[in-house]
Amino acid sequence: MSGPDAGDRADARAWDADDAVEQLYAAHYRQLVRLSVLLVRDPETAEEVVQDAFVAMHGRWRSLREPDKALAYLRQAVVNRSRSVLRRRVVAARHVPEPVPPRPGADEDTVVAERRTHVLEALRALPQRQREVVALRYYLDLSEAQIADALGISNGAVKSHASRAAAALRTSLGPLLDSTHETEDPS
Amino acid sequence: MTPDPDLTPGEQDRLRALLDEATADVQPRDGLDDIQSRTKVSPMSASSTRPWFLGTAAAVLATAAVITGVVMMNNGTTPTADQGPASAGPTSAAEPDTTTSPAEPDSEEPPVAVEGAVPVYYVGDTGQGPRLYREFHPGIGGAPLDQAVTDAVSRTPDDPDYRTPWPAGTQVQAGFDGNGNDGQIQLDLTGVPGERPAGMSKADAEMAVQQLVWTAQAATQTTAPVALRLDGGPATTVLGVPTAEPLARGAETDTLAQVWIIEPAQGATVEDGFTVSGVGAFFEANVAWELYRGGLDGPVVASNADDPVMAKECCTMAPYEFTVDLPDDAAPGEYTLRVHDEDMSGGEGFAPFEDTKTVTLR
Repeated sequence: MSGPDAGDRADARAWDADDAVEQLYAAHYRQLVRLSVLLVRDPETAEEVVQDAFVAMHGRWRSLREPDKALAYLRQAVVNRSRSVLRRRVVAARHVPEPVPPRPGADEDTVVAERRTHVLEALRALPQRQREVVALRYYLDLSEAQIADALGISNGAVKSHASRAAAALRTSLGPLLDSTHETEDPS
Repeated sequence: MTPDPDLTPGEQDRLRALLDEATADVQPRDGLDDIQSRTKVSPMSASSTRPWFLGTAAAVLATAAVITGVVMMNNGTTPTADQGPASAGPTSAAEPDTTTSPAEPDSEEPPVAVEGAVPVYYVGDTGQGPRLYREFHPGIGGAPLDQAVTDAVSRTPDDPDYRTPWPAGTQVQAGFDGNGNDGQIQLDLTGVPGERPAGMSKADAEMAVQQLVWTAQAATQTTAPVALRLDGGPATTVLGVPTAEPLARGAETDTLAQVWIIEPAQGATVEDGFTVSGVGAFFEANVAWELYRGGLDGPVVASNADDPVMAKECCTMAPYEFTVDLPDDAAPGEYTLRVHDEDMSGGEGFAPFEDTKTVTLR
């Protein structure tokens, strides 16, 4: 093996499945849970989904062996598992729960809480694939090719889902997407 | 005016900020302990596996100790000891040849005569969560049902990729009324909580219960319902799984790992041209396999690229069989066999099912 990252790979080879779980957990757990929240909404379900993905990754470590591959596998597992959770939930979800009323507090908090709800609702209104593309593209900042890989669809399909999602989000988010309309603390 | 369907860079930045903000209040609880408690039995790399006969001999002794420490209880008819592997598995067409399974510990004198092989189901982690795999253990005499369910809850599986989710200290006594499929199997558990313990996933708990149902039915060669009892009385739940009614086995597709290697068994000694058999549900019935020198990180020395293999049927657990012809220069020593489904779903589904076995080439 040669190349600039040969050394890294050799290190990773030394990881066993338990090390891989620990290292990837430390680096990516929270982000993966948040990714799943964008897809399934409920944080507890999201945690379950991501923990299951880690357990599955542990079981497959011998065929993954490299952190990059393991992370790609985790992402894919989180998206797939989030999707099947939703599928199971379809019947129950016909009954949409009441939005949580904003807690009394500073106006600013209320504004942020409302905006959160608004954004999550807008995502939820998207068809599954479009929601996945948006989350992977704009939350995880994956490239078109990485998204195509994670979802098992063509680059062209990623593009068309992204375009349709963009049109829908322009309508549902309206002024929130307007880049001249800055929020107080975007980061 | 039609707006450009794609987002402008400014809009993209806004969307990024909105998504970050929308999830910023999500602070997951610490999940590492939960994950680690579910991955305790780490799949060892093949090269670190001990010679199988040492492991097996030790396991047989340990099992015998557990068995003799439990009062044997068997209502009604005792199934004959030489009934061999169950036909209650996914298919009866794939019975292993017990003479080549690691049934006889090398030099250790087993404490009880080996009589046939006992089917034991274990849990393995797959791309679709925990699923059941099956091993055959050398019979130690006595009722196969008792041995099988005791092994299922307390014996370390021969294959390091498998595990039992039952808590340490679980004991089980089995009874069967002997009425075949119309009868009832009763399993009396002790040392097990009625509620799901912290750190055990729901999927693991459900699979633990299914592990006992499949094992008990295979050992009795029936599909008789299985009644679980706890500490001498009826149990509404075991590990949080409802058990008020006697249980049937779960659907194959939801319960079993969809690829099994039956022969060779973990740790078997093989010769060039050895036969591999098993059952699996393969995409278009294409059985994919590789033989690696050493562990799975070793070079592939033979694979289905040399010799395409088809299972008997597509897409449902069906028997397959093939022989492995090694290159002339293949050195004796340890190899790892991997049989798997091909990921033809285009990423739509989960990672493909697989099973692996470490073998020693003579």
